[in-house]
This record gives sequence, C-alpha cells and structure tokens, in this order.
Amino acid sequence: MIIKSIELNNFRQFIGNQKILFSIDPIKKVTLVLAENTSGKTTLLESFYWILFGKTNLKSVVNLQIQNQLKNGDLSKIEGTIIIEHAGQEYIINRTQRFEKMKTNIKLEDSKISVEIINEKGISNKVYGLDAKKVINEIVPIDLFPYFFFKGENIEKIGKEINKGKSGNNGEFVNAIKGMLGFNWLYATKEHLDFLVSRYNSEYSSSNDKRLVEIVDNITKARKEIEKNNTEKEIKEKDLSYYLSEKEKLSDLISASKDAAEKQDRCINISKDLGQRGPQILTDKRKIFTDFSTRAVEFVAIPLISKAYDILKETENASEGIPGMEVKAIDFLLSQGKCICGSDLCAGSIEHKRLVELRKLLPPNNLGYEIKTFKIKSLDYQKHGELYYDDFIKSKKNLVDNITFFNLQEEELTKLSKEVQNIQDVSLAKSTELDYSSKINKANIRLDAIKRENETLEKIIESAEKEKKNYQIVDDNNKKIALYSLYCSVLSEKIDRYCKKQEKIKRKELEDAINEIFKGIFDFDINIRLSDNYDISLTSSNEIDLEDFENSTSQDGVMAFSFIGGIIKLAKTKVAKVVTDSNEIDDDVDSVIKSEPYPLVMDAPSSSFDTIRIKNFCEIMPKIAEQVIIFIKDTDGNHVKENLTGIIGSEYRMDKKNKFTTFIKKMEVN
Amino acid sequence: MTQNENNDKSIDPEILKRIQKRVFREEREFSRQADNDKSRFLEKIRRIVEEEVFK
Repeated sequence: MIIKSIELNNFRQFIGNQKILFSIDPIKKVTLVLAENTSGKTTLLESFYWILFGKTNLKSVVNLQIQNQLKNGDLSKIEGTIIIEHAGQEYIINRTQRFEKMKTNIKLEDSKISVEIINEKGISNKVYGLDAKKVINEIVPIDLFPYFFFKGENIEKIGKEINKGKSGNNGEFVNAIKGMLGFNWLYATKEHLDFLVSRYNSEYSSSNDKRLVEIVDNITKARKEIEKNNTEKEIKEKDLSYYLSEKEKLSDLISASKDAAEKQDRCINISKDLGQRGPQILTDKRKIFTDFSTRAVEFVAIPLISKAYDILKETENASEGIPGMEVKAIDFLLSQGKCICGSDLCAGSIEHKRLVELRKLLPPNNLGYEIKTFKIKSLDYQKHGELYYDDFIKSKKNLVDNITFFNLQEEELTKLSKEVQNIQDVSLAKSTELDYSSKINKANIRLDAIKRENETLEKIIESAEKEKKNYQIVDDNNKKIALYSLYCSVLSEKIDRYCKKQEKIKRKELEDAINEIFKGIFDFDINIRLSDNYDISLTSSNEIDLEDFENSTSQDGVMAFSFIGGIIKLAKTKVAKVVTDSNEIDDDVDSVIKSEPYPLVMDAPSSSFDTIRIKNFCEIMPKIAEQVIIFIKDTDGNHVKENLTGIIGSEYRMDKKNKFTTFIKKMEVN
Repeated sequence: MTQNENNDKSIDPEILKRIQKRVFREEREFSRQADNDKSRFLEKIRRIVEEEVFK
C-alpha cells in the first residue's frame, strides 16, 4: 500500500478543500508536513482513521466555525478522500458525513463510505458500504492502523508497555500481529468448528443411546467447568500480574526509601531530644542566674575578705566581750543602778567596777568579738566562694555544651527534614506491600487449585472420550452426528497445530527484524527477545550497556520504533510456507495480507529523541518503509530535514490562521 | 496426523480436505465482512460439513 494523496473538505480546522500529494518516488520517499503545535498534525493523522474506518479519537470532526454559521435546519457535510495504490490497483476511498444544525447543536448522520477500484487496465469498479469496508480491511486491517499510522504521544506508551513486558497483555497488539500473519480468520475458524462440535454434542438422541448422551453430557459439563475455570484463571492471572507489578513497585520504593526511613526515624528521635533539651537549657540558664544572684557575692568578696582576714589575723582580745552586747546596754544598766542579776550598782562597788571594765571591751569601744566572729565567717565565705566558682564553671560548661549540641541537632533536623519531606510514608508502603504479598499468595493458591481441578476434569473428559469412542452407537442419526462432530474436531485440531507452528516462525522473524532496527538506532550491545506471548525482554553480555540503556531517556521511543519498524518489515513479507505434518493445510491458507510495501505515517516522531538518535532514525526508517510520511514541529523538522537530504520528495506546511482554520500549503523541496 | 485422525478410521482424508477448502473459503470471506450474521454463517459451515460427509 502506497498513499498517493489525501483530500479533506471541512474536516475540523481544515476548512474548505485541502489536499496533500504524498511522494510516491521510491528514492525520494519522504513527505514532510511541518507545523507548529496545535496547528492540526494529530487531526491530520486522525483524518486517515476517519476516512478508512469512520472512527475518530477527536471530540468532533465538524468545523466549529461552520457549525456556528449554520442556521437551524441548515445542512452541511464533511468529506475526506484517500487515494492509495495497492497490489497493482488504485483505490479511491471516500467518506462523507452529512450533518444538520439543530438549534445550537448539530445532528450527524451516519457516514457513507465508497471505494473505487481501478485496475491495471483502467477498468473501474465502485463499491459502497459493507463491501467498501471489506475492501479497506483487506488493505489495512484496523488492528494494524496504530502501527502504520502512529502518534508521537503514543510512542512512549507503546515503548513503555513493550519494555515492561506488557505487550502480551495488549490485546490490540496481539490481534494486530495475528491479523498481519493472516491468522485471525484461522483462529475464528477453529472457534466456529469448536462451537459446531458442542452443538452436535447437544443433539444426540437418548432414546436408543442413553449411555452416549450421558457420556456426552459429562464431557460437556466437564468442558464447561474447565471453561469457567479458565475464565477465572485468566482473571486471577491478570490480578496476579497486577499484584506482582504493584508489589515490585512498592519493594523498589521501600528499598529506595530505606535510607529515608532511617532518616525519618532519626528526625523523630532528634525532635524528641530537642523537645526535652530545650526546656532543660532554659532551666539551667535560670539556675545559673539564680545562683549568681545568691552566691556570686561570696566568690567576688574572696579577695576582700581574705585581705581583711590577714589584717585582723593578729588582733588581740579578739575572743573577749559578750556576743550581742554593746556599750549602750552597760550604760543603761549603770544609769539604772541595777544589774540584770538584781545587784545594786553603786559607784565603787565590785559589780560597778566590773561593768565599767566590761564596757571597755564592748563595741563600739572594742570589736574583739566581732573580729573573732568575722574571722570564723570569713573562712566559710572563702570556702563557699570557691565552691560557687567551681559550680559556676561546671554549670556554664554544661550549658554551653548543651546549647552547642542543641544547635547541631537543630541543624541536622532541618537538613534531614528537607531530605525526607518529598518521600512517601514508607510505613504505609510496607503495609500495602504486605497486603499484596497476601493477595499474591491467595491468587497462587487458587491458580494451583484451578490447575488441579482442570487436570481432574481433563481426566474425566479423557476417560469419557474413550468410552464414547468405544461406544457402539445404535441410532443412525446419532451415528451421523458423531461423524460430523469428528470431522469438525479433526479440522479444529489441524488449524490449532498449524497456527502454533506458524506463529512461532513469525515471532522469530519479528524478533530478528526488531533487533536489526534497534541496533541500527541504538549503538548498545543489547538483544531483544520476544516471548511466546510477545512479551519483550532485554539481554546483554554487557551489564553497563544494559544499565545505560535502561537509564536512557529515549529508550521507550527507540523500543517503540524498533517494534513498529519490525512489524512493517514483516508485513512486507509473505507468510512463509511451512511444511506441516498436518499436510495440505498450507495450500488452503493464503495470507490476508499479501506481500506489499507499507507506508509509515508518523505524527511528531522525534520529540523524544536526541540528535544522534534522530540521525539514526532518519537513516533507518526510510530503509524499512517504502513510503515515509512525517508530520513534525517546525523546529524538529529542520533537524530531520538535515538528516533526510536527497530523499524528501514532497513538503507541506500547515498555516494556522486561528483555532478554527488551518491551511495546508505545498512548499518547494530544497 | 492429528490424534483424532490417527485414532479414528472413520475419517476420510479426502473428505476432510474438501471440508477444509470450503470452510476456509467461507471463513475468509466472513472475516473480510463486517456485521455479518454469525449464526447464519455457522449454519452454512454446518451444511458444508454435512454435505461433504454424505456426498
């Protein structure tokens, strides 16, 4: 299939009649359509989908300006025409869709499709509706559309899926491969034959062959049970695959967060410590001030007291006098003339003389006792002062140490908090991981049970089939039914064996093609392997290459391109003739897809590639496909053009006037 | 040869081949058409099998 042109009439923003003539030159095979973002590159790709299959991923294919200008009851239409060359014939594929303005909305009629086929002799034949649909499906099976016409935004998605080994779960992909190999109708045949077998089995008459009906019933019941089990198995396997993948993600997260978890624990501990240490520092500070107020004087006075002590050390009478008594008290007694002991104090009496003598030893006349007391106290002062000093030094050191430690802890906490603030709560991940482990366990147990149940059921069927085989059918009609059923079973088995063999061969061819393209774009020593389920795995003798590739930002894009390229390359080759021991079947099998060149139509393919990859991609892709059509951003386009020198046959530019209008203009190819 | 073919002498390879040819032709036609009536198609396949077996 080579696309000659596309013509659009009022298709979304492509207002009026607009046409692109694609290059069909086998050398200058590239057509570039340059456009700024939002000009309509994706819409152009979608227009192919709409014309070929009447489907679209766009919200609407109607031009909004036209829709708004129409009056209630007005009619208008959208139209698209693709001209392709396929198997030596020209196909003019046209789709139109009429619509009517209904107040503010529009009512779309069903689109109409027609295909005009012009053979090599120029004889034309036009088909419509289902016949046209049939013709299109023969040329481009709908399942293959995303691989021949792909959007840049899907490249990474496809790459990610196949890179994670999800391709086997991708029904669209598996169907596309089977369709490409021409196997879809064969699998359908097998399904139809199996259905006929079960229908025949339900038609046995029990009047003469009661036991036969019982046997067939047992087989049917067992098969139904197996079918039910297999449906459950399929669901459980999907669940299991989901649980395993989620658990793996969580394990990765937990593993990556192990350090973070330790940091989180450290944060908690530091916070606790700071919570206690902060108030303690304040208490210590207050105590130092309190101690200073009450005790510092003793320390400060030490030199003074010491000096006073030295001076008073030699003072005499230091021990005489009466503690607490002053001259005034003696003078009072003398003036009263009576002692406190009751004796009269007459001048000249012994008592009087004694008191007069004593008066001389009392303050303020004599400080002997005070000096003695001071001497004793001064020693205590000095001792307390020294003790205070020691205490102060200790307390101060302790406080400074605590403050320093507090500040360090605070700094660490700030740093750690920043480091862990964006990390998910690992404890939740751990608990979810445990939950998945339990689900995986349960799913595995159930899958094991299903396996055992199916084995038992298979044995029942085997034994019943044996009995059925040896059963001598009495009823003539039952004999006929048994024979029809047998032919259907035999043919179904032959198809199954043939498809399995062919698929294996084609899978290997696809794997080789993918590897060839992949290695052309990526210069790493990596091999791609396709599993039976079309899952992809990467192998390399060079661990560094594998690691570099896995860390490469463009890996998904390269993987997707290799994959798509591989499919296109394979589509060009006719389904291989394989000699099977079921013989003849090959003679009847003709591929749905003949040996045909196929185009590669891409929307913004290079955005995820670096300069080298773009260069490699530009070298490889034109070698794979007979025709390459690229819709690309202006800025990327210039770079792609540099790498496609000499093979660009046609160039267009989208000129966006406003959000309702884009014109496609033909450019001169430099 | 399939298991059934090996084990059952009532299978005539020529009949099987004729069924195969006709069924394949119908199936390929059916696969290229959209919105076909599946049950009517299955009846067609059934007729082919029965016609060929008792030709």
